Amino acid sequence: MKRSAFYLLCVFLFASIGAWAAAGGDTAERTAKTCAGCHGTYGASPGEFIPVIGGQHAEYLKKVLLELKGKKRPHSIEMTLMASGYTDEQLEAISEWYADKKWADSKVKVNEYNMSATVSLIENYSCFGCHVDNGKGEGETPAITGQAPGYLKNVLMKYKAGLIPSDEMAFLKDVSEVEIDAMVSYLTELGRNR
Amino acid sequence: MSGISRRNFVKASAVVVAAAGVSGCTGSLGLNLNKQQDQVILPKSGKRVVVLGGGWGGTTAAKYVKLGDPSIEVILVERLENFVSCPASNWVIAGFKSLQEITFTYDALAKNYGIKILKTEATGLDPAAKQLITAAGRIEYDKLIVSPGVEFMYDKIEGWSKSAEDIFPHAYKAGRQTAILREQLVNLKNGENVIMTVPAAPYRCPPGPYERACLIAFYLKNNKKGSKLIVLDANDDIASKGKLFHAAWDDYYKDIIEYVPETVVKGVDVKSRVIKTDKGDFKGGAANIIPNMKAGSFAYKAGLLPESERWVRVNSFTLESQALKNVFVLGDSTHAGTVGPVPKSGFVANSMGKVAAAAVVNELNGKEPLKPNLVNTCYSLVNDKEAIFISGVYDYDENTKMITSRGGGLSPERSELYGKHAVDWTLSIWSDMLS
Ligand SMILES: Cc1cc2nc3c(=O)[nH]c(=O)nc-3n(C[C@H](O)[C@H](O)[C@H](O)COP(=O)(O)OP(=O)(O)OC[C@H]3O[C@@H](n4cnc5c(N)ncnc54)[C@H](O)[C@@H]3O)c2cc1C
Repeated sequence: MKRSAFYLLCVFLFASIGAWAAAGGDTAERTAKTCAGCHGTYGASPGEFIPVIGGQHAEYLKKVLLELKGKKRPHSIEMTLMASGYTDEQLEAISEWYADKKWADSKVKVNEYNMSATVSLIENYSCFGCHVDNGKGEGETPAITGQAPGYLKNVLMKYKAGLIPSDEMAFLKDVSEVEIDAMVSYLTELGRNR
Repeated sequence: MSGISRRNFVKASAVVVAAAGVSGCTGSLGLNLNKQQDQVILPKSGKRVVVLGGGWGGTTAAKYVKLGDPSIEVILVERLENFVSCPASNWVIAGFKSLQEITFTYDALAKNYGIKILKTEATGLDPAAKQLITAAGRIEYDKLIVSPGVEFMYDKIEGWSKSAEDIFPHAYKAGRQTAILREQLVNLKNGENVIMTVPAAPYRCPPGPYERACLIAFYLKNNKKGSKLIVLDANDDIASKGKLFHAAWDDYYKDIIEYVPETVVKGVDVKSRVIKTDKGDFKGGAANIIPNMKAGSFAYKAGLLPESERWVRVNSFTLESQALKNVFVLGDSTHAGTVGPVPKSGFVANSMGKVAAAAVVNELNGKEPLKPNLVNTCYSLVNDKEAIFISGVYDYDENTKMITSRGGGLSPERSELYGKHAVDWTLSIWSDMLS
């Protein structure tokens, strides 16, 4: 027990030193902090419609920011305009910096839906098949559990309408808005209760 | 593990006690101000940053110095009891929010970061001794960060007196003034007009008066039959987001807003409540005069600029004052001609707070400061649901040695989603400054 705790501590120290050196370096140090004006300190967005970005996967953040900048992802006018002000290298450094921060589960109040029906939906659509580890995701597949619910719904509705091209999320075109609401509420609740 | 957490806990509670002790100073020292002014209080032991002004620039700078190096002692000097947000204060005027909802204490900065909050008035500076002079005494600093906001220039308005501020509220520093303008609107009789005057740019928050015009018009449309809003603008057209504001005015407030550009306030008659302009006299049941502005008066007292100038000249790389070493100036008080084309906004003050914090932390640790990088997004509600916005990304340009615009732009139209983001933005940025 004791030894494993020590081992964990060592792993943690190494991991955090490694991450510190890698997390965007000086470029991120001078460019990333300003994002907090909209996304909260270290990306812990407290609101309903602006996403949590602290602790999100670097690969996903990079992909999205570069797509936004290239106008290939019409999911946010604000972010398309913001991304236009950075070099690709800066966007990558910012992604790494935020990925290195702690994820803060949304505390926004959500509506209640029938729990077992919602769980079946999530199982049927196999959300956690890709967003592994109960919605933590990995690589280019984002963390969705504990995300700001208004944001999550907004994005899912855009996938449903075919506005964001994605084979994986194409199934949403046959999912109703109420079902989307229920899944979003569940994912938000799951975050703070894990 | 439990040993570590207990030590942390003891340390954390000690900080809170110290902070509470400092807050208490103002009251007890208030009795003996003159004598106290000349004495050094809170003698310095380690590295110390003093921040003057607990507004948008100052709170951010104080918090980000602590995030950058918790070993640096940070003292935040602010004259007011609470932080009242100017952003969202137009929403209070329209009745969408209460004043309490945009009012916050500084407690979390003391509790979460060990920042010492000193509630007192700063009255001057002794740059040679590196001391900030306050009503509570002198405070030593290694680096001083100054973000005193703006001062109103009433001297050019003939007939102005102190009491005029309650009759023609500016409502451009949020708090009691916001409540006065709200009350004037609520008490307005059907058919009575509202007058609002806009100063010539530059002034704090370029879109602020026009968001206010939308929201006052929204209130009149829904509550005061036959009442109009007359906007007397010293500029030749809307100073920010012009097309988007004009579209909202045309679509929603055509019969309510009467826009009179190129109109400068010359004087007032406090008794008859008349506003005199170069285009004639105006009178309304409610009247909002937003006067010309200049750097906060502390900047003049500190010798950061001469009386003949309006904004403080800084070094665009670190925001250090051009006049005084080890004094960094942020926010609305800065001279855009020395920084770069950034607006006087809360978001820019917040970004500047991070630039100055990084610069002083690096300097105090013997490191070179990093190049500055700033961001701005400014939402304006045009009614109770929809908003428009302008955004900008700014980076340091090696050739011009100035902060330069690198991207951003205007919202293509107004939308309810932007309205939701406008509300969320306040939550995020308030948390970034205050908790
Ligand atoms: C109606 C309105 C709407 C706005 N909307 C937006 C918006 O949507 N988005 C946006 O980004 N910006 C907005 N702004 C602009 C924003 O409020 C300012 O740009 C911002 O407050 C500037 O920050 P600052 O730190 O320079 O000054 P302030 O925030 O004004 O802070 C100055 C502080 O210093 C204190 N102080 C000054 N002198 C002394 C002294 N001698 N001793 C002790 N304390 C002192 C003051 O009490 C004050 O707390 C708006 C402004 C208004 C008026």
